[in-house]
Amino acid sequence: MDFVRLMKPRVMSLVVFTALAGLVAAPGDMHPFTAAVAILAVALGSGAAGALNMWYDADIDRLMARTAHRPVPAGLIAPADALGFGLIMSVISVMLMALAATPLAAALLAFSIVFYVVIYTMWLKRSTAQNIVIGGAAGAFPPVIGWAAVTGNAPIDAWILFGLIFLWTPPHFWALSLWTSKEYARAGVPMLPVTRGAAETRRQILIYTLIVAPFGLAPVATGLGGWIYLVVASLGGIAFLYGAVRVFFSRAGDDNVRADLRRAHVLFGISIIYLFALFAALLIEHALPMVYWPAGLGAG
Amino acid sequence: MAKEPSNPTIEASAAVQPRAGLAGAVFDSHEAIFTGEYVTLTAEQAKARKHRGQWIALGLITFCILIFLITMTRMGQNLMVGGS
Repeated sequence: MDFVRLMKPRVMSLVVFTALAGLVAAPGDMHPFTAAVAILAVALGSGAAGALNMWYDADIDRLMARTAHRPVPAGLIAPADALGFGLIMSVISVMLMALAATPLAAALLAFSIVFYVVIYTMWLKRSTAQNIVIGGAAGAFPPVIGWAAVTGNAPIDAWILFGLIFLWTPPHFWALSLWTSKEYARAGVPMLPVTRGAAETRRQILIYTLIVAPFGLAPVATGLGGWIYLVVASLGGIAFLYGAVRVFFSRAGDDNVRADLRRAHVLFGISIIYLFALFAALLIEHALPMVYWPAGLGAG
Repeated sequence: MAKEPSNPTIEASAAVQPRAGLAGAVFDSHEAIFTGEYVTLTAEQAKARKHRGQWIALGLITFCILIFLITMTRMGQNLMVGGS
């Protein structure tokens, strides 16, 4: 069970879901069995990256209440075991993807694992306040990997899905960091509220939400999303923006202002529902063509 | 304290002293010298080791089956493409 926790199952579930959406939305056919193996490979790759992250970050994880109970800092799994587990799972996941899907999908999976572990965890996380902006790219790869698993290429539609997660990550994560900034400061992690303050973080959250809410409609423009997606992205975008504006006009994250933190909690929840709903809409439209086609919006 | 075993082989190996310097580091440092002490796992540790072994075995078997099934599926697809 500790090894399951080492793989960050909650993060893995969102990664698998977005990869599945990319796989289903991509034009072309894939054998159901190899498609299932491709999704399994994405799940294992995500878990491997999570294990390697926990291995490397054990020193700062034990300083923060939110992460102190993780298997490595809690002493339930030895660091060397976490490292070995992560490396072996990385190799297995990429190998499975290469065998079941396409070389491009396997290469993208390998790149996203390396990006998350080396670029984000080992380098950016401890050195810059923009860590989550650039590092967010690692979490944005799954739909592109799913798409490439079917077609063997990555066209503009796949990169729009990448952009959606990439732009969504900063306001999502900074909402969380507004109430965890003291822990990050204690651990020496230069998250935005630690280095630039809560007011600047609230401003950046609003700026990124102002970008991601309209960008969420981009799949409709290219024909990837249909009328269901249009409704979900419009309503979701408004809700996301509403949450960000409420946080912007609050004092969430300021010292001794605990009441306003509730707004950051709400925004964090809205952001998760927003991304989940967008990819669920894409899944419904492309997995159930009878719902999608009568509208006449977009291509199948 | 564990009782010292009166085995001539063990006594001989215990008498070998590691060489000093680089030669010792390269040739002697990894040589096990029997001390007569044993590690006894607790019931919990033995159970955990057994579980780990079972999971590794299950993982290996699943991996082999997956590779076989992927190969069969891809070969089938290629044959269908070639035949059409």
